[in-house]
Amino acid sequence: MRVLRFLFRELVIHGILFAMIGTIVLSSLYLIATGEDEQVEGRTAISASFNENDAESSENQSISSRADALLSSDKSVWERNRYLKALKGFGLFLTGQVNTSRVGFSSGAIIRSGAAVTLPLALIALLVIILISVVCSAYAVTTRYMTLHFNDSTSVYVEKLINGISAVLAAIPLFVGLMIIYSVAGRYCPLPIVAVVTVLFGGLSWDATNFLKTDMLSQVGQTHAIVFSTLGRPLGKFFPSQGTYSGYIFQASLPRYIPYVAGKVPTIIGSITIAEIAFSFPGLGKTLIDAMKALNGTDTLVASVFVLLCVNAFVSLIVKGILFLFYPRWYEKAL
Amino acid sequence: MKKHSNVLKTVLIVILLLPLLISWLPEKLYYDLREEKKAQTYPDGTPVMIQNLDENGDPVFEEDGTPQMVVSLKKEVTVRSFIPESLFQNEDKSDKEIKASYYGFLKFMDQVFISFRKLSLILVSTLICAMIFSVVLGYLSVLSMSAGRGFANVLSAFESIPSIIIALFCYVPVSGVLSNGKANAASWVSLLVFVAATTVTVLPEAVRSISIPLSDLYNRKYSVSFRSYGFTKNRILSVLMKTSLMKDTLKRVAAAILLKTLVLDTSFGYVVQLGFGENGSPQHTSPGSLIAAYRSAIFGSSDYPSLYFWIPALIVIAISVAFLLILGKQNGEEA
Repeated sequence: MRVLRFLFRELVIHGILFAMIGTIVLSSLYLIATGEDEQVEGRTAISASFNENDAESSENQSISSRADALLSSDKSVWERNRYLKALKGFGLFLTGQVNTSRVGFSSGAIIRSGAAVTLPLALIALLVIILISVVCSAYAVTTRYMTLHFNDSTSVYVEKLINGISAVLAAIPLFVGLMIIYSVAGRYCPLPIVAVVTVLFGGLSWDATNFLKTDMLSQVGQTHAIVFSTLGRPLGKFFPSQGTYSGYIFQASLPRYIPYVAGKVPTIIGSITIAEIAFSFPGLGKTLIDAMKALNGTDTLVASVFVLLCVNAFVSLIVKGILFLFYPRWYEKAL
Repeated sequence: MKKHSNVLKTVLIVILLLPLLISWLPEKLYYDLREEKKAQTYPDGTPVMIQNLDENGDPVFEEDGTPQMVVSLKKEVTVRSFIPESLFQNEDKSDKEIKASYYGFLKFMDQVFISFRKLSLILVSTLICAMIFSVVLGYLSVLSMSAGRGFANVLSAFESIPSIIIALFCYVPVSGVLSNGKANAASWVSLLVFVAATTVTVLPEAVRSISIPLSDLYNRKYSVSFRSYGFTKNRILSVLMKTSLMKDTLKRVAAAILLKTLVLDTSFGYVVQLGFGENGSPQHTSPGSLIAAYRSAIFGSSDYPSLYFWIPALIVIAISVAFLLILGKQNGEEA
């Protein structure tokens, strides 16, 4: 029953429903803002063609009425109203037959671009963030432990150096970092490197490391951690593997760390979008910009927003699924 | 010792934020380019005389019928700048090339000043707008639990959409106004929609950061004793908002809002410039768009020196470091 409730909440409400409502709201905003009514455009174009063919005719009023008649007879309500037309395009996309001939994308191509570029980039970035934050936090915790209990401060300077470097990288805006890498590696930079750069610059990994490190360090002086340290287990200086001191503290921090990571997924997707635009990768971010630039690519725009929100929901579902499976009580608490 | 380091930090923060203040200095202090008409002379110093012409280009005559002669004037550009022209002198360059690169650099500096002026305007307006909303929503969330749950649901929906997508979709109204040829209105619309978009994206975290410590304070022992005296919840919360803990929290929230706004504004400017190119919104002159516009300077594929890329990039990094320092300072004081 709890699994069903989880699936309903995360898959149906936060996944499908949210992606659909988000797409409709954002696309409506786009349609309201782009102003020009297609019906008026069509009427103007038809009037112009009438003028060319019927140069002798001077009765503009009758031309206009003929144009109106032509428009109303040839096009259905779904074609004349921009909002309904976009809604129809969205419906067709969901059934896999989107009409995007004007921009040159099919629904399959949009989904493929999301699956081949955006999703892998987002997943690699997520893994890199977790890896960096976990390793740095384990190092910080063991350093604090050695300083407190054995007065051994040899690693303190290394930790300070790591902190300094990560803070400097965090202060460099993501797009500046991407430009620097672009100038060195060119536009054919491998996806994993782009993912690492996306995470290192702009403060994503710095923020995650700070969150986990603060949480783990706050436990070093607590009774349960002191009791565990008397068991004589290895420290786990570079990685908090199972059975080690840092691993034990990491496990205690996980229920707070996983919701934090889940909350960072939209930021990761946003950063990936910037990386795609910078490197001209054919992912969803690039498709979205191309559709906006085309101005008439409403169908592509609607489709790419929907797929982008779906990728966002999918990555969030993975993270929340892990929290639900391993820490169901914390999952309920995080709601 | 701690006091000294705090003073040093404050001085460093002020120095790093100076570019935002300097950008508001009157242009004539750093750069004054004006066209003047000067008398044309022969090498021996005697003025060149030419026949005077009227508005229609016809010669003007004296009363005695002789053609009226006047001193020939030529257009001359005079520049007053703190950047010496000699910096651009190079043996391989002709005088004309030196002049062109000098004027090009002054024009670039002008763009730098304008973009940072706009950035500071956006930072201040977003800070005011977001702080008002955050404090009101944070306060109301604690005052009424049901209202708090409602706000949390709405804000978490906003948080689930990548902020750069929200900013991009808010950009669309600006492009709509621009396409209608109302550039003056577009400038205001650009500022308004950008402040609205940034406020929406920073609100969830800001409201959380205010409501959590406020609710913690409310549930503490002394607050319980307040309640036993019959004070209303509203009265207790208004007293708690004035405590030093809440004041520190508000400072930290302000720093976080500034940092997020800086990141979003520059990233958005970059994406718009890179994605839309020359068709991008000229009303949104962000340092990010300036960096994107001169990105070829570090690829070696243009005549621009790499300074064109690094000057705005380094200033953005400096401002970002300042905000990180403010955040770190607040966290340190709280710890």
